[in-house]
Amino acid sequence: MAGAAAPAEQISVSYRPGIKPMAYYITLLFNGLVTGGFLAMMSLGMSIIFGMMRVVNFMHGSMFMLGAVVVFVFGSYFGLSLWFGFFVAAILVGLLGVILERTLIKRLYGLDLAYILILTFGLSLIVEDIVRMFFGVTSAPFLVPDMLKGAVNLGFAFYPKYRLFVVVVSVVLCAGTWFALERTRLGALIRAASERPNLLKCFGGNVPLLISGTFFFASALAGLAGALAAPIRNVSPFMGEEMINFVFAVVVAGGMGSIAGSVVMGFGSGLVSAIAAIFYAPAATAVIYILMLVVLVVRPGGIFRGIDISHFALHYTPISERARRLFMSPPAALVALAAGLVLPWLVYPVLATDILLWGLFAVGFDLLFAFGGLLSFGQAAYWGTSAYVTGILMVWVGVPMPLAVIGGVFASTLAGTLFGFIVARKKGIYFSMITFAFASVVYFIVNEFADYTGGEDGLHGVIRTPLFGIDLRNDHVFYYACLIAVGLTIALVLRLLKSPYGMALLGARENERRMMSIGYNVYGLRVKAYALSCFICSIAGALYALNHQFVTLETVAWRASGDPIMMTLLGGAGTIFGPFLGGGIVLLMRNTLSSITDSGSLFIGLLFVAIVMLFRRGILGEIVHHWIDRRSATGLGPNHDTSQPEKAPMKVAGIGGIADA
Amino acid sequence: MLDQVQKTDKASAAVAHPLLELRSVTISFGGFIAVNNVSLVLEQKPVYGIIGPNGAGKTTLFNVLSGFIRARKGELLFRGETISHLSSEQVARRGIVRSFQITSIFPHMTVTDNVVLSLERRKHGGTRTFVRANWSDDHSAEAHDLLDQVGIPPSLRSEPANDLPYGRKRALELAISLAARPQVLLLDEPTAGMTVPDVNRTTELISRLSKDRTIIVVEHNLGVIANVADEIVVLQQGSVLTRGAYDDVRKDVRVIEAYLGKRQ
Ligand SMILES: Nc1ncnc2c1ncn2[C@@H]1O[C@H](COP(=O)(O)OP(=O)(O)OP(=O)(O)O)[C@@H](O)[C@H]1O
Ligand SMILES: [Mg+2]
Repeated sequence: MAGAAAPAEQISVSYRPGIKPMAYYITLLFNGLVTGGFLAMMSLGMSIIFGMMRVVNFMHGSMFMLGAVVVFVFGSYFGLSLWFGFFVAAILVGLLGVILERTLIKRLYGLDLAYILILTFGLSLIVEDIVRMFFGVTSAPFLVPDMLKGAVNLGFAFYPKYRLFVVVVSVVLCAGTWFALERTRLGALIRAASERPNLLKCFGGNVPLLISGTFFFASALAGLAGALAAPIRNVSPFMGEEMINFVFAVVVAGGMGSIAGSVVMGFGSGLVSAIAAIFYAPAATAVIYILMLVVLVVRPGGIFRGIDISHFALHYTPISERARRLFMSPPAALVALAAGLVLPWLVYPVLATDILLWGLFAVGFDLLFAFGGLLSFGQAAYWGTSAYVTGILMVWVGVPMPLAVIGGVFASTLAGTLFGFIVARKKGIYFSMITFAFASVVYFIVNEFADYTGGEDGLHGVIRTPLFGIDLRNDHVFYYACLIAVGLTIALVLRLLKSPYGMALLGARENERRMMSIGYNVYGLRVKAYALSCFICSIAGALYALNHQFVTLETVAWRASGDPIMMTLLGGAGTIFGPFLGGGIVLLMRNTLSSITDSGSLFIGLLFVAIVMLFRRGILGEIVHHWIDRRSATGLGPNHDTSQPEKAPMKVAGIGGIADA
Repeated sequence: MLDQVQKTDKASAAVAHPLLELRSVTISFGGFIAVNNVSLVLEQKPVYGIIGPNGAGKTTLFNVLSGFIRARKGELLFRGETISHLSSEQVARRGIVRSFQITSIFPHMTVTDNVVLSLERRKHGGTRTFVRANWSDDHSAEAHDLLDQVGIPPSLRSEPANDLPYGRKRALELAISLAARPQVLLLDEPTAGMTVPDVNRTTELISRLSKDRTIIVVEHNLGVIANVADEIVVLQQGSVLTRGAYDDVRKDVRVIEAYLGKRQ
């Protein structure tokens, strides 16, 4: 959400001096409808794809951005009319959607839903970075065709024709889509397919066409929304990031997969945002997330009844029980410790400390992911909060360093625990999307209170001081201090994972219903896991602030939530030490690449795609799988291999299980 | 205060109240009525058999009894206390434990750990964190005893549960439920898909277990039902068709019609 300002419309009101204040407010509400129109079109497409294929397409935001870029390029370089631009943008972006589905997404059907989310997350990083190479931030009001220039008299106020046009188009498209889905034969087919995705198979030869058609339509809708937005918003590579944040919030609050929910919540969010802007302009964005959180507390299923995906918990089974035991054994810890001791002599110490702390951050994520079965897309909220609170306590309050660290970790863990009570009710994709939205709220808060956090400039002056006579200002010394802290935290994690609680957590991931049937409070287990994860991420975050002696907005940005996912998957989820290996590789490569190119995200995105498509167990996971699992499996039959993530989702959470639930 | 009243109630309840009681329970899935206004009183008998054609609502009834589906219409009482509002884990803690028709085990855990998980929950609550490293050894004697009972040989016990053959998985399913030491055990087609020796062993096991508890068993295998059930409840299209001893039920024209269709 870099530079996520309030949606542009809210501020640039066509306000003419002398008009009555009432008209001014109504104009603002109309602007809310414009924002709402975009949100509704975007959420609608997201919902349709989700309903049909259970795919959460993170690329949806990038498609919005691409639509705007296409219109801009065609309009300003080739001088083509906006009408033509709309058409081209919709077709091109629609085709992109189809191609993505046919080439990449298709291969992940039947696996855990999380893989597709991660894949499309990676793809969106790639797309945005590529666009960023050629394109900065621009605006393109000149694209508006003559016919739509100027304002119309609505009776109470003059309102720009073009904006009115956007409202009309979005309403017509949403209503048309609703009609097509509810009232036509094709719609009936699609709805039937979304009720029971497996029934798709029974439709014979039309299945791929139906899927491609759905992808085309939803993507084209996103492209068109972007195209419509181009003349009235800043056209930039980042406009998709902002959009996908909102769309997640809207779709979750509206009821995932519900067409009506997306449209109503889309327009509703736009209006609420406009109303909030009347009172306090910067709240325009935050209020959308707050609305979502309120809806979730009051009505956990969303406003409208969405598609029940509660049986689609995360069944990511990265490694076998045998392999897990190996990683949790003392020899593995000794090897890791040895590596930790020599690391600062191999790379420069600040980088070594970074590897250690990002690794710990990733362990916090992995605790939820591999052991809790919960994919959090927002752990940066805690890593960042802890870093900022520690920094603020030191810089603005003058609290001594060790107390500031404790305060930062405490405050951040407390926030995480409280949020945990809400989010632990959610599973699977819902969980991912809500954590993502919550992290956006944190980002907003940090950015908003720039007086204390330094905003875009970062918080400077978080100076390390000596502790117990040890000079922590020395980078080597600080590294070893961190190594001790990280080591103790890992020891704690191992201890917990080996305890009855750890086994129960695994049990809840494996088979939630069975756990409940023997008396386990699965919700309670998850709240604790979430709090624990936040605690770990917070420790890493506070030390990270000290390592660099300043805190940047990057630490709470959504990319910072993506990094630990990447590191964990690369090193090997569920392997305890894999996240450190993954962290090391990512940071070293980024470090090397930064001297050549600034396309860090491109490379991270490519890694994401490669991992999800090619080696889902991660480095350590694959090694162990090939050396240990295979070897011990000989002679025990083909189904001995328990580590096939490919089979887990259907087997454990298969559609067949619904009737018995 | 209310708690107090309920507790004093409890003591007398053991004698005065039936074990389980359903009062006009109705469950519908978006217009389709799976359980239709069922009222049923079950006493502290050893074994109840529930039979009925496919889709009669047997599993749905189990889901209601075990708290997996809340009964919005009607009431559910356990020893005279209402349990309609309880979540599934709370119901389980009160002593009503169910098994699943579609085998429901912890696939990637070892067979022994499947049972240990259930034992740990019953004995210590299941959320202990700081315990000595080999805590699960405390449970091993009991776990192995349970696995002996259901007939899973020691050689298979350290394998991942997923690797068991189908019949053994059903047996493990039973062992997990038993480890929770239920007062009421709900078994949903425990012998479906088992080989004959396994069926016989399970039938014997059910008889043996019913000495200390009430077992309610849904079965399509009427041989098993005839063997173990003291009373039979017949469900059809969400309603109780009839109930009684096996021999009476078997001769009931309505039951024959329900299974075979009406004779013209
Ligand atoms: N979650 C659900 N959603 C919709 N319909 C359901 C659901 N669960 C059960 N049903 C329907 O309710 C009816 C009763 O189902 P139930 O599973 O209780 O039958 P059953 O008696 O256990 O059958 P079987 O002998 O095949 O196991 C069936 O028609 C089933 O399709
Ligand atoms: Mg059934």
